Amino acid sequence: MTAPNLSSEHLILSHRGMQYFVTYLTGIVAAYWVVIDSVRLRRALRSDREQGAVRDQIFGSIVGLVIGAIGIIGSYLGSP
Amino acid sequence: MASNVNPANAVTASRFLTLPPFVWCVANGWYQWAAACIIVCGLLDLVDGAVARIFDCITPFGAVFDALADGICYGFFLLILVLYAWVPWPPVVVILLLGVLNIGLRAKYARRAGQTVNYRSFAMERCVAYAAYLGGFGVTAYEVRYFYWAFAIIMAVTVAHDAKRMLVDPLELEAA
Repeated sequence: MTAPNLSSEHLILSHRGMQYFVTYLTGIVAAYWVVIDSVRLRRALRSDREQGAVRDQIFGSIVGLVIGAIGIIGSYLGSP
Repeated sequence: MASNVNPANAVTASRFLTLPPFVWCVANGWYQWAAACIIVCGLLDLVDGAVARIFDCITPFGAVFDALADGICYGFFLLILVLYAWVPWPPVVVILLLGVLNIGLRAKYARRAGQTVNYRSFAMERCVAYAAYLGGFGVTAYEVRYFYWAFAIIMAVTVAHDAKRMLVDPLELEAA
């Protein structure tokens, strides 16, 4: 894969500032995601699991937790 | 029932306006502005649902249109990033193929139900939000391989789960 053509003109933030911004944004959103889906999972687990929609919610929350964990690990890996 | 020509669908359609400037920004290396296009597209995705509730114009078509707009916009972002070699192509090909398969499954589900209906997948909603971030990670060259391959795996598991729900399990239209 060739390196992308990243222009140094017309920047909103410096390159380093952008890296910090993406790192913090990713970490904060991922942590929020983990909290929200933990709450949703607990709520769904208390509901009637015979219903397909409830099982969908449980599966969705587990996927959300995995995505949140991936985001937290990714923000650690990509920290400047 | 509300008309399909309504403020919520207008907001959904306006998301396509972020695509041409995105291409221009990527072509010229304005990566931060390309990220801004993705953010605007994502924010409009959040707004259209709120507009539908405020103006009381929730329609089955709107739900399907919103899902289609997600697929087209985020798929387009990824495709452009691959074409300009900003992200590796193998995970993107996997993701786009799974996205097309997902749209096909939804069409099959609607035919099975005999009406325009969107299968509500809670897992796919998370994947769509992740896809928006994927575009952002791509334009900012942020841990691209890690995030893209992780997403391809999660998307494969989600599509397999949703395929079973849409094609095999009994129809539960009230949950859609």
